[in-house]
Amino acid sequence: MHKLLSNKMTIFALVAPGMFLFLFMVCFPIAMSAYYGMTDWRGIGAYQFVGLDNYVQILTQDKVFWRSLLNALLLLAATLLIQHPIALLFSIFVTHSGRFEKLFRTVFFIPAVISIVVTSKMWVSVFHPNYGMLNKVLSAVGLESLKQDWLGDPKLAIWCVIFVIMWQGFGYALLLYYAGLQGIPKDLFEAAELDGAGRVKLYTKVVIPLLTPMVRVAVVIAVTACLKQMETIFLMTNGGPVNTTQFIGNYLYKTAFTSSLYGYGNAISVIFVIVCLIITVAMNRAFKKDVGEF
Amino acid sequence: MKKWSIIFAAIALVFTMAACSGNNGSKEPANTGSATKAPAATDSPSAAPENITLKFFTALADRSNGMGKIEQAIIDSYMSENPHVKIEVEALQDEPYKAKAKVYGSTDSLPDIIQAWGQPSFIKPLIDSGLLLELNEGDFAASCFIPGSMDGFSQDGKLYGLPRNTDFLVLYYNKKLFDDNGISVPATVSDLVEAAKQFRAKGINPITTNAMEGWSLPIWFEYVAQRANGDFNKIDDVLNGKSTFSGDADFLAAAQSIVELSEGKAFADGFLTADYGTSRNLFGQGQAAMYIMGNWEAGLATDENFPAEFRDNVGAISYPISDKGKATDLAAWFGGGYSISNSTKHPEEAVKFLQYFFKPENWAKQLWQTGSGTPAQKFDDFLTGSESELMKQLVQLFGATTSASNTPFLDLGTDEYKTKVMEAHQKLFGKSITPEQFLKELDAAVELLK
Repeated sequence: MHKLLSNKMTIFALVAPGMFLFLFMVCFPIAMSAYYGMTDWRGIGAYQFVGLDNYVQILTQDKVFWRSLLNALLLLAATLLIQHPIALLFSIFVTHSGRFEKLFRTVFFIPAVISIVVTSKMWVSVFHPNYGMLNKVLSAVGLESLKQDWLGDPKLAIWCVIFVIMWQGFGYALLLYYAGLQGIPKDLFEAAELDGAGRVKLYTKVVIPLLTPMVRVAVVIAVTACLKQMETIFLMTNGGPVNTTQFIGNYLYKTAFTSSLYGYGNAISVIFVIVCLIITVAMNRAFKKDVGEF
Repeated sequence: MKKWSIIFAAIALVFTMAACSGNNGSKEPANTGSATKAPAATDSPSAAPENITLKFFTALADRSNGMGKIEQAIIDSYMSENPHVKIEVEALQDEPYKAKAKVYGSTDSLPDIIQAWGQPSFIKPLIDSGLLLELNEGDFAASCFIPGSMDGFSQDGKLYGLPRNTDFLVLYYNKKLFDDNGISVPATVSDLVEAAKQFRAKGINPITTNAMEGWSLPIWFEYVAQRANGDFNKIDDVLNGKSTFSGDADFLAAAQSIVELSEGKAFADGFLTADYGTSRNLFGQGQAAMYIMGNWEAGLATDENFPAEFRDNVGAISYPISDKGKATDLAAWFGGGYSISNSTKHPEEAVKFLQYFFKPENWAKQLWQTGSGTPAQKFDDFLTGSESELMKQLVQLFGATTSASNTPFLDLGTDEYKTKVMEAHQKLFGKSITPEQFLKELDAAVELLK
């Protein structure tokens, strides 16, 4: 058996299907996109080769593209700096809530289970300036002056959308950290206690450092989710008002299918892939440092 | 040898799985591009008709109300009269519909009968790529189409589709809200600004429309521009390269009057994020006093989802006038319709179905008598006298037309141009650009057409 498995032909034969699938399903479409990105194809009919015009235009003149990228980074920052710390805190809280543990675990995960269409549309109604719950509650408690056109105000809309996306993803982040906490051996807690560590020290010096592998996973998932964000935007604002809540996924779709600029849309997708690659490489570099075993 | 067979089995397994997920695209039979037989209008059914299936792709997604319900009813009755024909309906909302139609078009797999719009932004690429079947106007003589209604569906003297509706944009208003607050229905453009301010002062949303999708705004602007310069054709002149938007005092005045409305907070809260359903509900639930929308919303007066108090009080007027634009100058055009795919295997059957569909007693009569819209066919025979007040007002408005805008200017170009035009309007209505910048953006959009 060993002889067979170390045979080069065998290795090739076993790797080939996977490689073939990868080439065919991932590399080939990207290459096709890159090619179509160099045309002025409008979806139907003939097209012309225009070289790198589309790419140059996106990088130098397309404000919406940069705004979309900025929004993705804003969302990423908010996810990492707000959503994740809160999720971590709540997961610790859930672990210690005794007989309510199961209940809380379920409650916090519910938003992640409900269809995004439902939750997005629900939040659109909550934010509605006239019959939305948020404004109604504000006027009921006498805070009339805080009433806003939440999704219609170009300055506010992006924050409302980010809030909703964080809310939708909160359950998953919590679950990841919760699972990580379960994986830490109980004897470490006892050992720390015997050594005289208080609650705060226990968590800051022992538990959270041990959670690093889980943080890594959570961050990678968060980064991909933020960059890929499309469906909530599509359902809530479709990038409006005036493209202030635009994200690349949605912009790409709008360009290709509403404006019928397939060539240009393909060019956006290729640049998007490159941006994602850069971020991935940077992230891998940052995470190279290893943590101790336990 | 035995070990090799295991490996091959494993590989075969992987490949068969790959095959399952990979062959979706190529099922469509190759388009032979066969010459299209001009279907003769013979009525005699052949002895033993073979069973055929027609795919029907429509943008009337709601199959239980309004136009979608009528469309479905006619399809059902056709199928029961012609048991050998099966019509499979695929229905999507406007925007997804257009996106999917393009995908069908680019993969050469258009369904047999599709909804089409007689406007260059939609139909021109399809005609240019030879995807639509040429129709014989004579086959549809019995349908009594309004003269000119087929123009949008024609190119180089050939007909590629049939119009379904006559559309025009009006200002719906809620009489009760006006009366209760002692505000009079605006007759002139300046009245409108004033009325909006008064409604705002009372905490009521003045005007709503579906600004999130955005197509109603340019048509609205056509009205405003016409009221400023007295001629719908001036926009066409710009598109034909005879003049420009910027530098024209009348267009500037028109854009400024939109800004004036905006500054008077005439647009409902959440204006730019209101989609079709949201804006319609806002008006129907009595939360907004006025609603800019097409005549196809005649059903507002009979929609049971809205309170009776609203239904009995909804009215429609032409856009408020000025000393240059009269109420009889209407933003009107011929809207949706149907075309037949050039790659259909049953062109005769598809044409026969459309002939049936457009029989006066089918589409025209049912559309009119249910108050779901105005057909693009003659329908005077079907006036019953028991139409809702709203329907009567709409007929009156349309009947009095002295000049019409024809195809909305946003639809007179490519999709890219259309998106740019709509975005420029959203920016203007949302006050994120000045009137001068707005006109420049429109010019830049027009530039794309050259």
